Amino acid sequence: MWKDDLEGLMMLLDGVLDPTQEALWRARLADEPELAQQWSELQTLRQKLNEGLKEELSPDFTQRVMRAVRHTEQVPPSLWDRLTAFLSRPIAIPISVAAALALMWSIGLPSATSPTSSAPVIAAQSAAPASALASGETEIESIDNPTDYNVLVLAAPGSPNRMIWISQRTPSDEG
Amino acid sequence: MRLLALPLFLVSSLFADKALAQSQFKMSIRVIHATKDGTRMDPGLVDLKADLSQLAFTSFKLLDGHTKTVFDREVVALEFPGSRWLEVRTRGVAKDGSLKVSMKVRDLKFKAKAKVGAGSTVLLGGPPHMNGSIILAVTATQL
Repeated sequence: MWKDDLEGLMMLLDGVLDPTQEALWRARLADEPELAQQWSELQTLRQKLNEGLKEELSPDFTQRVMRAVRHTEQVPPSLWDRLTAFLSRPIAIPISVAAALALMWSIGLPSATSPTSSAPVIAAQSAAPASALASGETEIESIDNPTDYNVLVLAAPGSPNRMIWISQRTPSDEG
Repeated sequence: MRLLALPLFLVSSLFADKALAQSQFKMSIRVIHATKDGTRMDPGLVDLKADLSQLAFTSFKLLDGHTKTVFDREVVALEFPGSRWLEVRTRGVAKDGSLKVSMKVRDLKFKAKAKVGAGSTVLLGGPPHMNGSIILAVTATQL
């Protein structure tokens, strides 16, 4: 039984199909035994439902239900149950990988951008120990300044520090 | 295959926790006023004596200084005289172990990127202030 067939049968049951569509469905019901079986079950179900709704509830129905609820131990699913239920879903793997990578990216783990597997993460850890800042000279990587400033990079002999000195450009500089 | 998700997440969290512990730095930003009035070098600037001495100024006064613990991807901003703001952004640790930083002074339309080794300093000087100049010194050390 296809989902479309079931929806079509339900529309037929509800009487919302136009005459042409209804005729087509009736023709199919005559030709397809499986469809006819489903149609019969749907009709039976509708009939039982209608009969059930006609029944009068006992006056203490609500009290009995609530009493039964109160006497039933209400146990929420444990964290483990929820975790295993989540992990049993196919979407668990990409979500877990994405969450792990996002976490590592947000805290700045170097070179942990590959979404393929955990192997590059381990490699990145061993390749870049970064246990402490390396002592050494400061290095100016790039300077982005407007044209109305002169920029000098100064390095004192023997000093690991670097100084960027900016000064207003004068007309004589441009001449 | 589905069971791979949990160990992968736990292993990643383990490394993330380790990385978190390794990625904190102490960053100090000093604001220095350099002038030609007299001869002065504040005690808090002794480590920069060689660098400051190469300038045409003779007096160096420490106007302000702040030290902050930062992560390797964080932004620190400090106002200095002239109602200007220095913005220092840490950009992670370079392969050679130095801390990568970006410095920006919006009013001056100035931006620079640098790699700062442990205990070393990147200085930015030049903005004029009261017969002298302002020098900003950014020093990074790992905790």
